[in-house]
Amino acid sequence: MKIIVPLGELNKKMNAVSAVVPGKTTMPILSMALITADDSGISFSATDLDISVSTRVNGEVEETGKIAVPAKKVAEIVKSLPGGDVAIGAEGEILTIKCGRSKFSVNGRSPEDFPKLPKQDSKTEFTIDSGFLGKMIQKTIYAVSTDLTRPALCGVKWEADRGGILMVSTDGHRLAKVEAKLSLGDIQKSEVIVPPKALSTFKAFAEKAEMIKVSIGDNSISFEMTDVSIYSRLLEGPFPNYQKVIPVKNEKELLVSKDLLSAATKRVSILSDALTHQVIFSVSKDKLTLHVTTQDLGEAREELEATYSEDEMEIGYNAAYVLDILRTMEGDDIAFHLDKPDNAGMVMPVDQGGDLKHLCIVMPLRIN
Amino acid sequence: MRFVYNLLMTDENNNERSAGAGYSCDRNVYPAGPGEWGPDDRVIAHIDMDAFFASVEILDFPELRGKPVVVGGSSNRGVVSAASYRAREFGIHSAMPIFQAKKLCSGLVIQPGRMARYSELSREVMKILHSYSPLVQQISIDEAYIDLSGTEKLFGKPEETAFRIKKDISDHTSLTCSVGLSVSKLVAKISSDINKPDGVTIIPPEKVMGFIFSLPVGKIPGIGSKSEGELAKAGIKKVGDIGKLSPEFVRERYGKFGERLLEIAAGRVGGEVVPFSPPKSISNEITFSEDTDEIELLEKHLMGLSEKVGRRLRKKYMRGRTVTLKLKDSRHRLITRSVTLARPTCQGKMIYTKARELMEAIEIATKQRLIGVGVSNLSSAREQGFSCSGEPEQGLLFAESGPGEERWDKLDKVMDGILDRFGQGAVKRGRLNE
Repeated sequence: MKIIVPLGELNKKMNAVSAVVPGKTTMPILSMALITADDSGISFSATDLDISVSTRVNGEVEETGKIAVPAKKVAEIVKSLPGGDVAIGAEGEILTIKCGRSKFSVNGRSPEDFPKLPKQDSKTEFTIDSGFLGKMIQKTIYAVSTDLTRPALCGVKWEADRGGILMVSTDGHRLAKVEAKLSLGDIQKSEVIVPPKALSTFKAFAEKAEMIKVSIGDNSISFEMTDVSIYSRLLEGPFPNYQKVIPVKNEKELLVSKDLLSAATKRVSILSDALTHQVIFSVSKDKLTLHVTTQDLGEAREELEATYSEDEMEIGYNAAYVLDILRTMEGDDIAFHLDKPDNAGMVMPVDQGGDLKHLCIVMPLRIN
Repeated sequence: MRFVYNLLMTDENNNERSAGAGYSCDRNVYPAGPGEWGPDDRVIAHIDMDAFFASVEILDFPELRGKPVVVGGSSNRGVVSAASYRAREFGIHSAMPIFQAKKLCSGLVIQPGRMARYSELSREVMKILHSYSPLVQQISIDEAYIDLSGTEKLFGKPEETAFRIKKDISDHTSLTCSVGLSVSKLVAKISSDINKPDGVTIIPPEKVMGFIFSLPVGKIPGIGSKSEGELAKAGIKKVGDIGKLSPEFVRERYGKFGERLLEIAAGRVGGEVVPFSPPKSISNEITFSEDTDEIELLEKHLMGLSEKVGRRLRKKYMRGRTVTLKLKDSRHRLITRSVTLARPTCQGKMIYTKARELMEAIEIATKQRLIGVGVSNLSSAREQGFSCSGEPEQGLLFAESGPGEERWDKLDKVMDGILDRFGQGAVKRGRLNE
């Protein structure tokens, strides 16, 4: 194998695939990336057996061939190179990298040892704008649970049918849901749980606006972009019945500026308890007061103008949960739909804007 | 009268002593020479009660004085949990099966254990220690470290304080203890053993390195007879001998304990006196008076034990995620099975349900002599977002405890209230009454 790739392109693509390579593994071959050069061009692939990524690389093929190379090491070498074109060659299981006056010979492995990349068993396929999909992911990925004993909550639930896509995630304390009305064509309805690593890998690669193909099978999902294809296993359910926990009678509405609330929450939470991050929201006639009292630390208080005309209440929230919500909301103003202080609060942007419907639910910290 | 620190000097004479002989010594010795503690030296004492359980028995039943007494299971099946010094003269030691102890000494007095009484006296001892320093680390019911650094102005020189503590304990409880006093936990612990029982051993700062170098390697906690044998093959009998070998060789050849020896020989014998370390697991077990393979009976015991474990967890505001079942059959074969729960629990009912599931998965073909249940993987309720004593509690979106389980939580709370007020046994599950 002999290929020539511009350093910038090489650096970007090598870095991207090496992000999929697991940090620690009992199977050394998984720390390798596969370099393939054939008549259709150059590609790099890597897998951790749950997620596989293949990316096309712009460059010249002088001689076709394949080799498995230690991904992190090669990425590190490439990053350190001074500039210009890089000549990459393989002879047997040795990879050579030449750039300017530098030359590296790196021990690789036979391409035969590299795991076969899985084939997607597609049941539902649609095309969607990568930026739009990225936006939906951004609004849901943060609420995914990290509790491995509850695997179904460790992913984002997707429901796709001909009318659009719905994504929902929850860690049991809060929930994020985003719904897009789209015409996806005559597709089969599909409900799956997508692991966050697949979604963050997609976001890392999806840098330009393009239409991409999403295929969903029984056990896997794939994203096909112009240069990159990502394949991931799905998580097993059942996902909890999220519809049941979406409040229907939260009739007390509080309207407040998103940016002002976000800045105030950040400020007062400096003195919040390190474990609970508790901030008390006091609502009264057209006013929202945030306050924090933490033993050993002190007190903080900030008043915000708001629109509110219901009963006065005090509700405790985890500041980090509130900030996560505010970070992902569109528009200038947001609406809290409240009930009793111990019940779930629902948060939505005042202007939903476009075809997206976004809502978040956060459980309060009960003030004992 | 010979003074203890003389024994510990690395003069030729002492180096020639065999490991055992080097440690015999007069009682109650006090160093004659200077035992100066500098301002930067830690002052750490290790207090070890002498034959604690057996001594308490003799204290409460004076007619046992001078007799060989052990505390342990009354049947032949039990083991010795403590032996009086008179009993030790017959070669009886802790963990020896009772029937074997009886063989060694025909007039052996076997006292059943009275944990409540031992705990009471233990608390008293710890209270005395706390009056000398807030830095008391209790290792077990009859053993503790105390950091006396900086108490000179209050109580005088460290060696005087050591004697004072000893006298205080004896005045208040009529029990004797042995004290080791030095600059680190390791040296204090090893030295408290030197003049046992009823002795004080002081290794002042300037003697510490000499003491460490002359220590037989087997005296280092964590180095067992196997490692000791291996080291002996290489000519390493005392800690100081390790200097004969290159550190690289020691690390490669002896791994972890080699590393530890090097650290100790270099004088790095640190370890702070930590007043409280949270428990890693909480468990209860019971040895039956008669072996049984009756599932009903095993379940009943399991339920009682689970309730106890749950209550102990709740008292400490802790919850655990791993439930472990322990069974030992008549032939002393031990089976342990564990399961990790989705969410941490402190509920007796949940612990019982999981432990019973574990038991159901085991084919119980032989009679069992012991059953136990434990909860580990603990964290404080607080870290998990559960409230304890008036703190805010993170609300949950889904009723994760499953239907009806909130009611079990309430029941536990009510039962705790009754037990706190009226004492153990005031209320229990109906099944445990059968």
